[in-house]
Amino acid sequence: MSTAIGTADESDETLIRASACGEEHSFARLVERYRNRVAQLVRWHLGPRSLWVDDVAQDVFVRVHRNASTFEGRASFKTWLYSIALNTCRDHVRRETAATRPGPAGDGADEALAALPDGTLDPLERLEHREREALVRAAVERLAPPHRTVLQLRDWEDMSYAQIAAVLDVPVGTVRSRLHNARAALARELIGCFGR
Amino acid sequence: MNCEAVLALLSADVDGEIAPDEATAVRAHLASCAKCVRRRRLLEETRRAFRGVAPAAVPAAFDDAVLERVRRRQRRGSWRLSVAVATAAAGLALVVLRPNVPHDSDSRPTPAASTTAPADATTLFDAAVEIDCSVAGPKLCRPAVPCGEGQCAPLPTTTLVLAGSRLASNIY
Repeated sequence: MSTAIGTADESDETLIRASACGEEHSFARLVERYRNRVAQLVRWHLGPRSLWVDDVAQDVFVRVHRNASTFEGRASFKTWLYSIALNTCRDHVRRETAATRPGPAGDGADEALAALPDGTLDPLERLEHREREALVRAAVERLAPPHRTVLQLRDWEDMSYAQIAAVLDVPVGTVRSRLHNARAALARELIGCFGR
Repeated sequence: MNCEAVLALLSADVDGEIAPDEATAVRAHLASCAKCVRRRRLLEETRRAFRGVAPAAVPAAFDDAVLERVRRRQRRGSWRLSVAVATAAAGLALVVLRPNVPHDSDSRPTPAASTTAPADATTLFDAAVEIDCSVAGPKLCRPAVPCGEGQCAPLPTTTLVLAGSRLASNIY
């Protein structure tokens, strides 16, 4: 999904600086611009069935507003925003589930490169758009949370590997292998759907 | 470059995130390896499939809920600031208007006494600014409470106000 957004007047960076100066409508523009994708990131991080998605997504924007004056522009707004989003998710997971069940698995498990399945996604192209989207979404939801996150940052947000590494606080090499493994896992899920 | 080495680079190649020399080596390998060509195509198809998914929409009331929380936080913040300023001003007035009492370090309340006796504002003030006149060397004392050693200097107003703020934060 292409996410080329923002004009010269309304770049993310301009809006967040205006938000820091108390301009509520600038902050509202940022919320409007990123709400769905931030909420999706939260949903995929917490798990699709989590009841806390909307609350945590709201927490992300409240934190963004609270910290608006600390945005220095050294990293892009998106890098900054998604760092806050992931930290908010991690805080929530730590608070809610640390004692009851393990956190999302897979952070250290994806350094070994996964094999790619033998096959093609040609059958996907023959589906109607809505049907195709539903099938892919369901397949994505079966992936490990770190795989969903890295796919979103790369393929929806068009972030570079270096930016993703900054958001996830991992080396660029890990981003590279994790992204490969995420795509391999998604391809496996989708090819599996065609065989069913 | 063999298939295994190329596999490690294919996804990054699809994203245009490999170095030029790596890209050249991958191209050379793909020119003679149908299996790796199929793998690369599968990665491209997978990327396209993911990009075709739109994020789910948040509930209609989402924006209003966020803005309301932000406003509530701002209101709370400005109320706290008002209280802190008022308390700082009160603390400042207490210090300035306090009658001149010769300073005697022995008569200062001990920490134990402070915890058992009700702490008056001056005690809290002293704790807040951490003044200790018993140490040797030039000292800073409150202007109304000279230590009698002829080395006291009045505390700057900003220090007093800061101390008042710390006092306020101790209270709230």
